Amino acid sequence: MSIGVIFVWLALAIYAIIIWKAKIIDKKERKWVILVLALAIAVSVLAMQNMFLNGITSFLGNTFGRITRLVVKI
Amino acid sequence: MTQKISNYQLIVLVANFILSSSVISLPQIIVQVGEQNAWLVPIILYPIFLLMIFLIFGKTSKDEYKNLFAIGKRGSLLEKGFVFLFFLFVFLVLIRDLRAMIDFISSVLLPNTPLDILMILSILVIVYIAMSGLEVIARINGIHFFLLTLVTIIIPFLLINESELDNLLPLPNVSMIKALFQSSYVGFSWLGEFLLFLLIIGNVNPIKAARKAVIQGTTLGFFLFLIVLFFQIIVLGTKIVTEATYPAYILVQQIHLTDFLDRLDLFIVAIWLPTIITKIAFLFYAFNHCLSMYYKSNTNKFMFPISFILGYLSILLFKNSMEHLHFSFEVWCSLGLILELMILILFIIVKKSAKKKGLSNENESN
Repeated sequence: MSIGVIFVWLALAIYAIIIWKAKIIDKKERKWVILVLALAIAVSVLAMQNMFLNGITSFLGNTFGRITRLVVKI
Repeated sequence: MTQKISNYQLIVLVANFILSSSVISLPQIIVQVGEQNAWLVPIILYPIFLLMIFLIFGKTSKDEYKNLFAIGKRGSLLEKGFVFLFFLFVFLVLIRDLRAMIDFISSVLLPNTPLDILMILSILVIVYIAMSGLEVIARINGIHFFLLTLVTIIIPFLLINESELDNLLPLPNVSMIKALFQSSYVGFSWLGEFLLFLLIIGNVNPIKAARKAVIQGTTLGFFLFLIVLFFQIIVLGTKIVTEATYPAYILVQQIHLTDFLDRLDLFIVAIWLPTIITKIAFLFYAFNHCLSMYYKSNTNKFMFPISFILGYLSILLFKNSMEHLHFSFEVWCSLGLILELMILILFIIVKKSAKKKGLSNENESN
């Protein structure tokens, strides 16, 4: 596990504790907090496993990038 | 309470949107396509951008802008579509700029530091600024962009001994028109990021002078970009500019005032870095603002975890710096252009429908 991921998890844990203890979120906002925390942990795990999401950028390269290549020879 | 920014702050923000990220590697691709005449690109694009500003403003009142990005109101489908497009635009610019800054630090300043550590450290600084709000972002930008403007204006005097006017030859002729338009196509989406000001137009005080401020900001941004581009061509020549990843950095490395003052590049980078950090902080603010419309409360409680999500995405979406450059040069030219034009068209339509609604409400009340 890299030091970066450990730091991020620690920072997120402190954030969650502060948010919960200080009671600055209501019931409606709680689901959003859980969602963003889960997403942040998920992307940090992906980064730790070197699982890149470059399929998205490759797709954009094949679509919009092709339009550019039609106009300009790069 | 609505946060207010002055017209001076709007001027430097607009100029920052145009200059700070474009200056990293955009000259490379513009010069590759337009060769020694690429310095004409900002001059070609400037009138088009002025036209866009006049189309955006027209005859408008403050309320039209105020309601556009108002959180918690029920908007029409068109308005929601406009906000979604703006959200997508902000997201893509944010991911691209954050990765560009991290890659720059990684390859020039801290080559032995892992990317994720650089990302985390950058995010911590940026999110601290972004969470402080628009006024703080505008004030920080006001200080740092002023310094960057000074340095950019001084650059011609510092580099006069290194300039070689022969690098501009052959001079522009009819056969170069196609290449110039192609390089203008490449540059449009990057320089068109000045449209980010649409988010804060309701926060400008006084609103009447906002159009003038946006025009002045655009002029300043274009002028500074023109200086950098022109001096890259005449000092480095087209060959070095097209082959260097960061031609602007190589340009400032050419400054040799005396024997003991030849590392001014670090000083200039130290001035440029805060401006791009401020731009990314503004993008975080804009991202959070657009997201607030979906969970219908204006809060930055979620900004901290969201900033890490975006930071990691900027690493995960590009396997290496080459993929990022391909995205910036190939994908963004068309994708950015399409997004910017759609935002512009939708903005004008939404503004007109808001005006009609306002008129019909007035008639009903009478």
